[in-house]
Amino acid sequence: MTNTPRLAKTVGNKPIKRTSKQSAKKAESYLGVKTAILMLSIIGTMGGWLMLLNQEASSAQATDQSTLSFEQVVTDNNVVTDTNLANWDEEMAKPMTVSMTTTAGESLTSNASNQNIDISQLRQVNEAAPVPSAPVRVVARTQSSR
Amino acid sequence: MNQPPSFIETLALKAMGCHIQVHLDMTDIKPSHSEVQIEQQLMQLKHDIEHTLSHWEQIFSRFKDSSELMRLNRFTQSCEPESQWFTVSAELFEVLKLAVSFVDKTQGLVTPTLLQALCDLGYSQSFETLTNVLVSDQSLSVEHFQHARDIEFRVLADGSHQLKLQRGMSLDLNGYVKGWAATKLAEKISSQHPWQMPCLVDMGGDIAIGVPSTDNGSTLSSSQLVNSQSTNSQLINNKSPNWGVAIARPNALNTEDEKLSEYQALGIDLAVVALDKGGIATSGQDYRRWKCHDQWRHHLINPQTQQSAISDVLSATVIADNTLEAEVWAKYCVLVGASEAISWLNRNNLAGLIVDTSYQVVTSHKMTSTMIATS
Repeated sequence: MTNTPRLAKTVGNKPIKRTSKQSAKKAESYLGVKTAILMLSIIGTMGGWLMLLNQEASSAQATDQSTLSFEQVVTDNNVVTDTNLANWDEEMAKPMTVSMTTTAGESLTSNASNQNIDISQLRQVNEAAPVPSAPVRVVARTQSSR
Repeated sequence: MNQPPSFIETLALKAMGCHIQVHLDMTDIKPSHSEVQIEQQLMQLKHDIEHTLSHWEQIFSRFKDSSELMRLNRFTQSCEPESQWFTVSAELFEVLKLAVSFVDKTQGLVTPTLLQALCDLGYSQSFETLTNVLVSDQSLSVEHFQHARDIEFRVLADGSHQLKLQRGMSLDLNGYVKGWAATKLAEKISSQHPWQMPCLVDMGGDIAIGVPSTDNGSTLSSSQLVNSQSTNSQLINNKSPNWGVAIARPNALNTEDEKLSEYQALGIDLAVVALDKGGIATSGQDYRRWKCHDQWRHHLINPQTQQSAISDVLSATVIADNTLEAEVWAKYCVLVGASEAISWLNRNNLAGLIVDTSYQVVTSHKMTSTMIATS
């Protein structure tokens, strides 16, 4: 459907500018909404991760063989990266901390970063614990040659 | 810790001047063989061991004039020129070479060249036939002191083993052969026999542990796997068991000693150790001793004095990688005295137990952690 001639004449003159301004205003509002949605989604995602971390810390149980789980407190793949520098939070710009915990919830990185490692202690930890002696059947006797 | 053997069969023999017991771990054999099969194999094994011991006795005995060792000793008394090469058996070559290798390690105290000194002191026949009071009184000659380092060895292209001895040299290998024989028998049973049984061989108190070849890391040949009639998993998972060995309390030197009753209250055994490899031996002045003109002598000769060693060690027990080595170290501990013996054992990280002539029992650090029970 083509524009009516009147309308066509209107587009080429001042009425076009008004449309542009209206479009720009609409675009700005859309952008604002979009930004707001984006911020909300980022905040929501971070909040979700934090809740997840808290849950893992409180519900972790000690196991016989502790294993390491490596968790990075960073944005996950679901978050759309905001490349607009103006929207970057200073806190977000800092390097993300990496925490290492055992499944028992024991923190290892705090020890590693805050304390000097005593290698002799590590060696002691790695030595096998003495095995209790099993019953032995005496079958022979050593003595001066008979 | 490995478990002790569940089923043990024991062969008892007498040879080389001592009582011999061979303990066989039949834990893996019994479930897969009938009683008849087992009995037949054990009879054959006993026969083979007796034959082997008889062969070694004919080589090493210093109480048989026809033995290879005594024929060699006679040759060296009158050989011209002063030294010459003699062809000997592979076994004599091996034991003498091992004996000479320990001379420097023991500062010359443990040496195979003391036959004449022993005979001069009266120990010229089998101990069981010695009487307490000996009539003969042969004077000692300093010329009998001979350096074992002068002995030379060579193997010819045709495989012949040869020795070169100085004229007048007299060899006695009794202090080495029992340990060597125990180790050889243990290897024969645990590695060469088709059943490859873990075992303990006790040659009159010198003890060797036999470990099947799978436990040493080497793999069995396909024929060995077929002949063993056991499953692959049983062989691969076969662990050398822990054999309990008691360390006997040595005889007291003086039956009128006031400490005797307290000493005898220790019981017949001083300690128990668990061994899964290697060897253990005991040497002392408590058993092979005799009186010669009102003076007690024993068989551990100090090469420097050519007399029975004067020592505060009543007996010494040492655990080593093989029984011949254990025997040499035990003898060395008697000859150097209690204090130096314990220091030496600790410096060399060896497990040793010393009983001194005051009936005090002292152990090296390694023995303390090796013992599983004490009296």
